Amino acid sequence: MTQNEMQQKLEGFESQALEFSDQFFRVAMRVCRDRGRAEDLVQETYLQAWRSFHRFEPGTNLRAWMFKIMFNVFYSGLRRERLELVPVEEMIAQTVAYDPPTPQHLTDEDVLSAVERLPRDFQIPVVLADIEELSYREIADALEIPLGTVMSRLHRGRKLLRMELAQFARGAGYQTAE
Amino acid sequence: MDCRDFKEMLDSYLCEELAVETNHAILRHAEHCGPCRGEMSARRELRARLRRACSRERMSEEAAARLRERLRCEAQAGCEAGWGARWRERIAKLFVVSMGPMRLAVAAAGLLLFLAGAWVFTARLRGGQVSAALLAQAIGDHRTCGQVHAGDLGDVRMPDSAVEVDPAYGGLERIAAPAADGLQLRAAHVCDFEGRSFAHLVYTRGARVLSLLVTERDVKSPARTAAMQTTPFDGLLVGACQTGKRVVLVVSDPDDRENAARLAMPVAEYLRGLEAGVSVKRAELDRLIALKLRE
Repeated sequence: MTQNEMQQKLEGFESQALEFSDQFFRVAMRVCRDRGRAEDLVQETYLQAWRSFHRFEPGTNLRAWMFKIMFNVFYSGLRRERLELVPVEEMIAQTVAYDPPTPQHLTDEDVLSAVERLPRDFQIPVVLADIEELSYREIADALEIPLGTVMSRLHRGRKLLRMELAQFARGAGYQTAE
Repeated sequence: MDCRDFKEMLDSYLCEELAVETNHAILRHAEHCGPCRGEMSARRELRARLRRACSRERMSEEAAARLRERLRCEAQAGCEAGWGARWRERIAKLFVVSMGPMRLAVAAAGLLLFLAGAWVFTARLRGGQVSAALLAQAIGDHRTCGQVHAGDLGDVRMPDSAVEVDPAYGGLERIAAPAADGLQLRAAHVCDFEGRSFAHLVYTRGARVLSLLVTERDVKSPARTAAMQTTPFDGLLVGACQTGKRVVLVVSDPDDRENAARLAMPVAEYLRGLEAGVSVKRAELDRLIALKLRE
């Protein structure tokens, strides 16, 4: 490939992929919980996507394909750092029993920190479905888990989130919508 | 559809993940169930809140610029790697297309012969020159260890344990003594610098420090020249004199060239003698030293 061809290929990649950078960054912020690490994750995602861009099938969903790369990068980083230890099952046992009310009048910061407090396995599907509006199928592909698992994690994750928000609201003395 | 089913499927409805018939069932239920209508608007509101809370966050300008820069570098690197690959391909094609397997074997043998010849030829060169890495190590040892011991006082003797590193190191200060006229010997020891063992004699002349270092040679082949090779290096002067197995190095200020040569040559000569003779026994060593001293 000549310099010119490479330049063209890069411009093609950038024109398609760079428009999603803020979306990737937002998701990276939720999972990394740190601006510097989130920016690194996004950068690494783009580099890897560029390196394997020849394997991307034109006409399929570039955003979902890059989310898949991003979670690959993210999880391989986690495995290296051995960070995550989440006692997930216990939390679910407490929450599946009831459907908590949805609080009003919360600040954006309250909402963000409630999202960040979700266990990673539930948080990521919720962020992808309810914030970035990926389809369930795209989420299943990006996280490489079965569609049924996506749905059950979403179900539990949303319940957990509503419970977190309700606690916030109670703590702040807000009224909750019954 | 009852209220329980409605709540179960509500989020999927909002995500537009339900089949058309199920969508209708959801809407029909909401029409005549007030609490579920409330639940629907509450969840809709929550989704909007989530998106609004998150959408304010953007990558910083610097991070975005860094990202584009990294991509550009990566593309550039890929381009250069591509050049290499293309040339390798062309050369490979040239060989495969224009030569049969027999000719290819002959060509490979020729290439091997050429490489072997080049190796032998450069070995002579390698034998003739002291590597820059070794010169740098000598300077490093002079700067760290030499400077530390420049102020030492007292009776200086190479410790007996030095012979365990290299028998030739024993009594080295006495070999160098006649040549070190006018220089003050400050230290004699074996030291390690960056993984290499040196016999190290530290001399001073006024405020100047000289280091005489002896170490093993990397390439064991007859030295091409007995002369001293002096190299200005990093603000200092390094004189190097090779014997068959060892290198004598003198590190000094650039204008101490004469002292350096005067110090290094007799030591190198002594080592050549040792290497030519067979065993190094302590008694013999002392006899040699005595002889040297009488000269």
